[in-house]
Amino acid sequence: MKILLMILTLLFSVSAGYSQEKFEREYRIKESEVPQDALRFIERSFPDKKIKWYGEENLNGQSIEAKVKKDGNLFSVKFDTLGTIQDVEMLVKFRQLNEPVKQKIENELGAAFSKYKIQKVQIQWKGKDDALESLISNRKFDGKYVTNYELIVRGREGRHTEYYEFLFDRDGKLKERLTIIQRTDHHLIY
Amino acid sequence: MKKYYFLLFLISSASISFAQNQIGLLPQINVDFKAGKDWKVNSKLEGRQLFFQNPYPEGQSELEFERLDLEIVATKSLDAIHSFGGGYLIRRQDGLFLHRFIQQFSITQKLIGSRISHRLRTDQTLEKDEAVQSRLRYRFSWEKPLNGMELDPKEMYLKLNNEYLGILQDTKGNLEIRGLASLGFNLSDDTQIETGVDYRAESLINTKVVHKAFLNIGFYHSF
Repeated sequence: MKILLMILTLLFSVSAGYSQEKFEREYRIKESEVPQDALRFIERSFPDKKIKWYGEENLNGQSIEAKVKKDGNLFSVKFDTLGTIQDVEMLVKFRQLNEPVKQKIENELGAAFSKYKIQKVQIQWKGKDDALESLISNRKFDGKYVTNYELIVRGREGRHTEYYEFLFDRDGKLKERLTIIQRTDHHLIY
Repeated sequence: MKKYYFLLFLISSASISFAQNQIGLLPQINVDFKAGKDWKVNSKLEGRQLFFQNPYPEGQSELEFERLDLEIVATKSLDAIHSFGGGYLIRRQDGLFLHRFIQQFSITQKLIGSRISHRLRTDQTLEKDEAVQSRLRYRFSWEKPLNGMELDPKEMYLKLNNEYLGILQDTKGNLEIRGLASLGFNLSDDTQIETGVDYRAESLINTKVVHKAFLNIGFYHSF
């Protein structure tokens, strides 16, 4: 029994190790391939806007994503393959985050890396349809919803540099850190 | 302004047509293999077919398959950005073989919506009855997806290269500048095809400049 437990622990830690990586590929899809629920949400939230639809594959499975610009902001709205909304992300500048959150994130990154550069920041909202629709329109909602910050960071640990995706909660507490798997660069080098 | 552009066009086309020059095709097949966790071996087969040459080679056809190169470079990734390596090139040209030893260091960085790469290379070329030629090369490359922020399968991209080559042979130095603009199609994460124009200005110091322009066709695959 002990041996079995040890094997299971080992297997779990190996798979957990692999799950710390991020691999994501997007491909354009037609509107006709998008589930009705997803179409209806986007029509309500972004009336008369030009929508780009993408299929997305990552290490956890497949999803569908709409990318759209509204009021000068770039939104990504993610659905599962049945059209149920997963989250809404809005591209922002790091300096736009509130001071205590920025400070906590900077402390976390400063402790993790000898040198780092924040390349991209997105506010991520999770919640029910009405909450997300309100957040898209007014950036506020009185009910329940979850706010996270997703960051793409180039960080150096010792002499080793990698690209990472970090997820922080609304208070700037670290929730997840994934190493981004890089695409081949042979056509750039040779 | 239109007049200015027209004048510039006339001057540049006149200077190119009176100078030494070549126009041709530069096809290449480029394949790399993983060799262990951090090592890769890249092999490139590249030919050069000339369609037009000035000066015209006496007693020869202007159409000429000028050379065939086989290059093998082994690289070690230091992390997601840096890699270094070394390799060897053998060239068949004018019925003779030329040998070249290569050392390189590269940096590839992901930006928002594009990628850039810096490649620093040194090489030493050995050829029969010629002094050893040493070169120091720096190349900058930029890849820009034409659809969205990331290059995904079945999407097109633009690639621009600019390279500077310092050449030393028999105590004489020279300079060469290259530029490439190509359009690529990302068939999958491992396979790309590209075509574009490769322009080279050779012998820039103390001699007549040689202008070369090639239609570049490339196939890249990773195993």
